[in-house]
Order: sequence, then structure tokens, then C-alpha cells
Amino acid sequence: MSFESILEVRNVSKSFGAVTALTDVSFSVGKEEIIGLVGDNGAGKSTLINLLMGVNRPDKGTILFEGRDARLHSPADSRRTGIEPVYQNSAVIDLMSLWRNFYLGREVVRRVGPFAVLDRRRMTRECLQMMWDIGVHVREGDESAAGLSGGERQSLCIGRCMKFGGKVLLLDEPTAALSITETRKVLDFAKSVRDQGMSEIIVDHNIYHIYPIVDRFIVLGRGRKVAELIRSEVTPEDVIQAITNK
Amino acid sequence: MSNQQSPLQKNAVPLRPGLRGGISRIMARPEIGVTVGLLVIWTFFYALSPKFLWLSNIGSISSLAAELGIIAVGMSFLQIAGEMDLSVGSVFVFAPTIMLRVVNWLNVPTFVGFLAAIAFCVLVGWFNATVTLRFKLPSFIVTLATMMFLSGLLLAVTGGFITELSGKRLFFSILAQRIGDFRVSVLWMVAIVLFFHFILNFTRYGNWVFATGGNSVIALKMGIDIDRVKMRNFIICSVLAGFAGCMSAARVYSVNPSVGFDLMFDAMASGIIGGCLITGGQGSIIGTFLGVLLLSSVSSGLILAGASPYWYRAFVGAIILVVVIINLLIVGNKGKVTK
Repeated sequence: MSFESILEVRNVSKSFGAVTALTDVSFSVGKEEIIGLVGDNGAGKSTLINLLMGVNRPDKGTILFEGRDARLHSPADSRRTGIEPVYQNSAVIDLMSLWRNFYLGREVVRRVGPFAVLDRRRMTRECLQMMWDIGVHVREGDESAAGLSGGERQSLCIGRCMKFGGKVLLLDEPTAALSITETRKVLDFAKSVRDQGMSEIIVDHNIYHIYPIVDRFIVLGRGRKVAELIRSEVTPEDVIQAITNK
Repeated sequence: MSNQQSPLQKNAVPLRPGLRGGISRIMARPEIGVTVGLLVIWTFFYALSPKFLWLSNIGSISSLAAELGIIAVGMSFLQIAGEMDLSVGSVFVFAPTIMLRVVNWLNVPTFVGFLAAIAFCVLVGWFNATVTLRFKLPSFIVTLATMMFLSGLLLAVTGGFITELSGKRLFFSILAQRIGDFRVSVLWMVAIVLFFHFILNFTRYGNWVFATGGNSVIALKMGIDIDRVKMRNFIICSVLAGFAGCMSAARVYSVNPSVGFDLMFDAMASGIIGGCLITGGQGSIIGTFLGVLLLSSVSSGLILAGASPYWYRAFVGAIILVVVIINLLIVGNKGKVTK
């Protein structure tokens, strides 16, 4: 079986003023593959994620999605393309209900005369169903999002991705500040999402956490790609070695 | 749940909870505090003077509420998106002054003067938004500056004198004609309240407004163009303030350049009383409307009760605190949510 890539980062560089954040980074993400994007603080992981999310644009190089130049000029572009961010601390707006969060930017409307009116009933129902499907047992779709735990917030994001046909999930520090049970749950999710046909990029400091589910590690150091390791060929210690070896 | 289960396994979704759920839903509305406050105030003033609920007095309350209400709706709409506009009071007097002067100088129909005034409001809103967003400044500071500049400019140009317009104007009747105990302006207010209530709660744009004010960083990542939302809301806020000003001018056929300052505070107070968070992300246009009704009732009730109108401000101060605390006690901070 030949390697089929869904997302490809090609010779990407990015600077912020005098600070060079990324230099000539290239890698690709295969279909149904989990990439572990690792590196020390300041290695360029966040910059890379921000480029993929459309928050910033690369100075040089291109990002290809399904073989075509993705032109990620805004977060809206990125989501439309099929790249869905999953954030633990910043995925959900506490002041808004679950369905408002779930459908943010993709609200379902129905025509009433000249107006496009939110289909609140449908969104509430479908959001509730989705939350239950992914194992978050909320009572109502218009409950406050403030009551969700860290793991449940990520579940909501993952559910959002599955619902809207996302193809690549970006998980930024998914296990930071989670309990052991929750960490396990999130990693189980990540795995089952892959088994459903999605690709994922996981950024995490804890190599031991993500080692069991990752297929390939991309190691960044000072804005460059310093190593690319296939999980089955290396131990967690090898990965850590690659990160710390400067 | 056992760990062996797939996390994606289907589960049975629970049925909706019944009466208890219904009551707790009502209690979680942001308008709950102001509704309680309004009932208390009405009972109080009715006990002091039964005239309070006479049709003529309700008419006078609603006329007072119309102009303030339209300003407050715009302000709340902007506030929910996480910004504020202190310049509404200045725009409230500046816009109608432009309207009257354009008509006086150029001898054009009143409606043309009105369009000039609204164009001016769009410009002010655009300016406030552009400076706020471009330089990432707090809108409090930017609009404080706009407020000072506009009111100073207006006083300098008019010399502090009232601008007047003579002759009967049909267009002014459309804005503020008296019919029996009521004025047409009340209809304008009701229409504007309902319209923005609809936009905020039942359209995609409304969801974006809540998200922008609730957490602009997440909203941006979810693909919402937060700058555009804010720009639009700044302009809406300014235009509504100018519209209210024109309505006021249509009522008395003149503009006094030194009013308006208090209106800004009253509009802000109405929003806060009505459950709008000053930091954005939450609020209700209906709540703001009830807040306006509350302030107008107090103003009118004090006069009927024979108290000095100077007490008004002291009353408003006390009401703000009481209502905000009622809101907090009934709903709590955590239970607040935009449904």
C-alpha cells in the first residue's frame, strides 16, 4: 500500500520580526495517521500549529491539503478545508450553552420568510445526541459549557470535528492538566477517532502519554525539523533523546 | 462505565426534564433581576400614588423610555460583543444638530437632513471601531476621547445655544408624533427592541456577537471574523444613538447641545440592570428594555410622589446595586449561560 498523504507541509518558514520561528520545515500527514509533534519549549510547535490553523501565514513554503495548495488565510479557511483544532483550555466559551459552542461558526439555519433563523431545536437535539455518543452525559443541549471538565471539553471539540466532516484534528497539549483517568479517556478518543478514518496531529510534552497511540514523531528543535521517527522503530527514550540532543 | 467500551458507543439520550427544569430555566434568564426590580418599583410607586398607573402617566413613561431605550439597545448590543461606547450621549445631540442645521442652511427636505445625520453616525461608529481595533486600545478610552471631542466641538460651534427648526415637518411626525397619551416614538422603540432581540438570539450573527464578547480568542479560532462583528456593532450603536437624538429633536423641534451626557450613563445603567455583562458575552435586549422601563418609571414616579427630581440619580444608584445583587443571588455566577 502506498503512502497516501492528506496534509503536507512543504519547506515552510516563518519569522516574527527578527525572531525566526520556523526554518524550512517539511513533513506530511498520512490518512488515518497520528503524528506526534514534539520538541522543547520554543522549538516552533505552536507556530506550526498556528500556521495550520490559519491564524498566521507562512513567509515561505506551502501547505497542501489533499494535494492542493490549501491557502489557509484565516481560521475560517482552515476549518472549511477540514482542519479542526482541539484545545483543552480554549475550545469552549463558558458563557455560552453547549449547542451554541458546538455549532459556533457553523450554525444551522432555516428560512422563515426573508430571514435565516437559527434552528435551535435541531441544534440542541443533535448536540445532545453527539455529546452522548462520545460519552459526555449532559442532561440538556442548552446547558452551560462552564460545567464541563477538561476532558469533556475536548470531547466536545472532537465531536464537533466528527460532525462537520473534519479530516485532520489538531490536538494542542491535549493531556496538560488532566487527571489520569481523563488523560486516558482523551487518548482513547484520539485512537478511536483515527480508527474512524481521521488523521491527527498531537502536540504534547509528555512523550510517554502519547507514545502508545502515535504512528510517527516529528521532532522540532529551534525552528527546524531535527528528526522524523517511526514509532514502531523507536522507544520513548529515543524520542526524548532526539528532543534534548542539540 | 467500563474502560473496555468504545468511547464512541451509542448511548440513550435522556428525556427532557419536566417542571423543575422549566423553573430553573426561567430563573437562569439574565432578565430575572430586572423583572423583580420592576415589579417592586411599580408596586411602590402605585402605593404612593395611584396616578402612577394611569394611562396618561404610562404614556409619559413610555415617551421617556423611547429615546433612552433606543440608545440602550445599541449600547447593549455592542457591550455583548465585548466593547463599549461612551460617545453615545455626544452623538445623541450632535447628529440632530447636523440634521437641523443642514435643513436650515440648505433648505432641503427634513429627511435629507436626517440622512446627513445618520451618515455622520456611521462615520463616528466607524472611527471608534477602527481606532479601537487597529491600535488594540480599550474602547473605553477611544470612545471617552470621541465623547469629549464631539461634545466640545458641538459646544464650540453652537456656542452652547439651542438649534431650532421652524414650521411643521411631516418627517418629524413620523418620528415622534403625539397620538393621545402616547407618541409614535414608542412604536419605533418597540420595533427596534424586537428586531435586535431577534438578531441577537435567533440568527447566526447573534451567535457570533455572543462568542466575540464571550471569548474573542476562541471565537477567532472557530473562524468568526471578530473585527467585523465589532465594527458592525460600533456602527449600529452610534446610528441608534443618533436616531434617538433625531427622534428627540423631532419631539421638540430643537436640540439642546448640553443634554446627552446623562443619557450615556442612563443607557449604560439600563444595560447593567437588564443583565448585560460589562465585560461582554452575555446580555439581553429585552432585559435592557426592562432596565430602561425601570429607570423611566423611577423618574416619573418620583415626580408624581412629589419628590425632588434630584433624587432620581440616587435611586438609580441604589437600584443598580440591588438588581445586580438579586441577579447574583438567584442565578449565581456559574449558572449564567446564553441559551
